[in-house]
Amino acid sequence: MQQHQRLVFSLALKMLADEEEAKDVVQETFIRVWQRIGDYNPQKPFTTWLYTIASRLCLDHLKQMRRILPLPEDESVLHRFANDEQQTLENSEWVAIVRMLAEGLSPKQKLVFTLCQLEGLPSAEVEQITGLDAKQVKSNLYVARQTIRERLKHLGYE
Amino acid sequence: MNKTDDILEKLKNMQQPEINNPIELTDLIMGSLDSAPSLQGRARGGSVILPIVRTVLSLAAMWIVGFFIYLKYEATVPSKANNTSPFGGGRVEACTLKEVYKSRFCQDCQKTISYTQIKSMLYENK
Repeated sequence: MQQHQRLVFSLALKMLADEEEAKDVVQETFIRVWQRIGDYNPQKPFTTWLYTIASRLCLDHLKQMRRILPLPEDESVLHRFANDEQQTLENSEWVAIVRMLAEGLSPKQKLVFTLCQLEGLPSAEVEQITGLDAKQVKSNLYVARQTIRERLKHLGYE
Repeated sequence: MNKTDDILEKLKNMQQPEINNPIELTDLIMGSLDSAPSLQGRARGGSVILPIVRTVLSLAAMWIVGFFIYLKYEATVPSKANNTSPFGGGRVEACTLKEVYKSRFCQDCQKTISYTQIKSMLYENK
């Protein structure tokens, strides 16, 4: 269970940029899994189903949350990450970096970017999780990457 | 590869975030799971009780309406209770609730008749 908790927490933290909100999503995800275990199709991987539930909850939380804006100190965290040979990041550092990069992305673009780029899931699985087709996943990812690229360029990273 | 792609690639290969207190969170989730079925059970219990309550209340309402119609009908038939008036200075001889109602309805009928009669008399005098 803790392994699955970690998967959901990782996605939620990067989506919501808030540790407490991410823990709430983990809790809500497992309650929903428990309540709707009858809907689970054993022919598909459990983690895909888990990600699907968690993604929807993250999008719901994003709607309720205020706009996520980067803090002044976030830039120094990103700068340190970009220049040092860090192998691990603290949760607060993850939050700061995500806040810096994902500003201006739509919830859907943020979800596709997080699943594809940060979680490293294959496109086919992302399609199943998000309910988008291959073309939509590709275009959302492209726009998200372009936006982040522009943002990093603006911050002086070429 | 430029710096931007470098950062994105580095993020992809970075170790995933960890939950600071996973055991506490697991306990919290298990606690929530324990209460989740009971909530469903309560909802299911409520759905059984509600139609029964509705049926009983409907029957009670029908009985009350029927009782009033019956009393109204009975009030038109002269009886011992009709001869007494609870407000007209006479002593109330009615002993039961039914008799009190009967006498009350009868008094109303009498008042209506006498009022109509007075009105017609007034018109006749004009």
